[in-house]
Amino acid sequence: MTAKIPERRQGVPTVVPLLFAIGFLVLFVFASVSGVTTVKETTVETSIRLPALFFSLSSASILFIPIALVSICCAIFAMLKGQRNVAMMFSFVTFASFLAFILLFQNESVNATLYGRLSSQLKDLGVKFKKRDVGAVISSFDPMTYLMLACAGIAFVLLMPQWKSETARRGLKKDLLPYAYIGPHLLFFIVFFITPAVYGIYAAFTKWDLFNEPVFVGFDNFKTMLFDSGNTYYRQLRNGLWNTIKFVIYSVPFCIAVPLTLAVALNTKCRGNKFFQALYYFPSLLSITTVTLSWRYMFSPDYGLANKFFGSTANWFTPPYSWIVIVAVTVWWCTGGTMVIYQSALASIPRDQYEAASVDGAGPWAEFVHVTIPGMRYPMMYTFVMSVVAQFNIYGQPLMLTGFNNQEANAVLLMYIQENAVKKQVAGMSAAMALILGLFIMVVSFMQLRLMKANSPD
Amino acid sequence: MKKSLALILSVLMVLALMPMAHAEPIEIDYWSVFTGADGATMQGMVDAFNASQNEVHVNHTPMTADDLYQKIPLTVQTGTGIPDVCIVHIERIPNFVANDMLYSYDLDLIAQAGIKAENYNPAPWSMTDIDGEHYGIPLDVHSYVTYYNKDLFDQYDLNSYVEDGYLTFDEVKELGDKAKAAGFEGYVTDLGWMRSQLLCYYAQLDPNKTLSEDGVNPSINNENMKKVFETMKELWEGGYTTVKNTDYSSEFYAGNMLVWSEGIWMKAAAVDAGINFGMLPAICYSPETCKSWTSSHNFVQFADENRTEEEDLAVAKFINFMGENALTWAADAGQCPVHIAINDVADFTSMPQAFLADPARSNELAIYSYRYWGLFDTAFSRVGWDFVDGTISIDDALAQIDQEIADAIAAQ
Repeated sequence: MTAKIPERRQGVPTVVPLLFAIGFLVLFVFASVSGVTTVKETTVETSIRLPALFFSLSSASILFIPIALVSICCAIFAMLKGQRNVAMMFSFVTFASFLAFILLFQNESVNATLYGRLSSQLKDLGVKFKKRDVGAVISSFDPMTYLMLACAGIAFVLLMPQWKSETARRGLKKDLLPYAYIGPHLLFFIVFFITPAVYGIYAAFTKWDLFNEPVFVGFDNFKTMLFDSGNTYYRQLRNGLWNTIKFVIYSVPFCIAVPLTLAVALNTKCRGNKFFQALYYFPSLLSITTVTLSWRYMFSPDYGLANKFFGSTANWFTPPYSWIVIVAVTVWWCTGGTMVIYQSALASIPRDQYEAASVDGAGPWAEFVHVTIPGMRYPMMYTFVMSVVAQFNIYGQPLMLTGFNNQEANAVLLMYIQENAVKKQVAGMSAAMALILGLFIMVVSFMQLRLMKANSPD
Repeated sequence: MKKSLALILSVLMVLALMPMAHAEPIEIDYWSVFTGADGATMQGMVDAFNASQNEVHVNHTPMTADDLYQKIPLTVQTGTGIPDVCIVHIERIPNFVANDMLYSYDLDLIAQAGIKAENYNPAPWSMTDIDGEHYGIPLDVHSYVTYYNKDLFDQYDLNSYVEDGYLTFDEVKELGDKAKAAGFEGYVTDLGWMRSQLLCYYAQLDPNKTLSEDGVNPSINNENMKKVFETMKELWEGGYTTVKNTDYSSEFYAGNMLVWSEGIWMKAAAVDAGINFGMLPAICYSPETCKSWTSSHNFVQFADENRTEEEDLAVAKFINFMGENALTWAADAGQCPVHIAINDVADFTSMPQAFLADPARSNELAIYSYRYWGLFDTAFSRVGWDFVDGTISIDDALAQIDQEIADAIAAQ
């Protein structure tokens, strides 16, 4: 609960710092940084707007820009809600992070974007040079950049409470303490989730080879993937997405049924149940690499246990067997975590329900269908949603078990995304693929959540 | 007075000695693509260099080739953590140059450390002369060759096929038939590393090793490449090869395979497996046109404006040491060093891969150069051996390779 302080006791009206905060955002669109260098008596100069620099992904200091932007948005939101102390804190974070960006940017080695633009100009002028010769790039920010910094600083100062007032100090503590707890997480969330997500979405609309600056191409990547039937990426999207969906359909029922069966079996408290519980949970502790390599040996056509055991000569890594191996490995790996959830749910079903069913003449199967399953409906729903999302993100199993062999019969979308982005440096197209997969998972999850909500008691 | 004088002298002495006490060696960061046993061998060579002098200290960071090629663009673009010297495969160099990521070598500067073109095998050295600048200093060449099991060859009386030092496709079929008729139940040869294996045969049909007519757009879909694909399909259909996805190396180690197409880098593993083997160039259409796909590990310097000339000279000393002391690299890693010093080492000339260092046979080394090698590699390898069993037709496979490369170039 935020401490509300009467407006007359707060000093400057909130609308004034609000205007400065909005000014920060407006100036961001127009502010720029420039670079100038002289190589072999040829001087070249270039400048780049801050939004373009932000999306150029060209130096570590740029990571402070999203922190500043998110913070100033939070500050504006807090001011609109009348939470001055919170707004003050976010204004300060904006000021500090933007200052850090300016200082670090000026002190780091030649920015790749500035270098790229300057070197292009030098090449156009026919100057032969090495990157080392362009080392003396003088980068400078225009006045609007410093004005932005001033806006954030002024907003912070104007929002500062009257420190002499005990009430104000108490209100400050009360308002900001929660942020002290969530602050570190928030910071990591912005740097490692929000920022890559924003960059990823932007990259989906660019042509980008990772070597040079991304070039904005609008919806071209999506048009190619969705409508150009002769294009490789059209084929990859359809094949990858369809294989991913097939895998979800094949694996999710087993990822529910197998742990459920094991949990019910262990719930009988049979002799050695703790040992078996640990045994079934153990695969979940292993890395996907360990798991797939182990199973690769077991399914090896020449030396594998599977063929020796069944007396078969089947090649398990080619269709139609390959999906069996991929699903079996996945279920073996995923069973432990889901099983523990089910065990917990089973323990919470009141014993008297079983006793009542027993009195009514229900056998074990009837008890399972009419008592156990209804009693576990919500944990099962939860694991269903989580399994679907997890299996849509399948990558390691098909990559290491079958790869792109057999005309990509088992190639899932994440394999294409990784390969295009990193191995082939087709990062724009790859980001567009990832965005489509993300949207697809969001839609499926949304539908599942609606289903859960529709089935909830209230 | 005396005390003051003594104190002053003592201070002066200490000050005079300080530069000596603080004569720190130049630190060089070196990234390589050598992991596993090769990584250990390379680390041993780096340690030997560090122990041989006290002016330069090299810090070796090994990683897989895939990791290195992922990290390099990012580190060069951000300008942080760029290694002073790095090992890359020779085929990658044109693309790095095109993207302005590499420094060319200052030939006068590296000559001070003893590095001169005439000290190296001309085949790999000349491949990194681009637009009048020189970008790579080769450590080795490593080719895709043919191993044969000497014991099995003795047992089934097959030695006449390898007397001339070459093995043709026709001879492979003949010796396979002969061994099977005498009761041999294993594999004649293998479907190995598809890309390297087929590029051996392609270079034999097209000495220009054309992957692109204009240097940009792919032209893999041509009659020569089609013939290469048909040759392998024919071998598979005749039952002379392993099946897809077979662990072909294990088959050779287990004595179940007569002829093994593999890289020279697997020599140490074959020795460890206890196989009595011989080594030949790649299987060929005819001895006259025989060529083996070859790559070369090259020392390169990625663009880093913070690196000094003093560090460049230190790097050159390190590279020269590695060239002149590469016997370990040949003996333990199974590679073929390209510094001419190796040809005077008796231990090397008796190694099975030594024929690759013979200047008279340098035209048998098929080193490819294509700016979009990475895209070619991915697209070509993706087809794999699917064409032998008809999972995809040869025409479709070749069209798919060209299409995939062209689409990737357009999307970059």
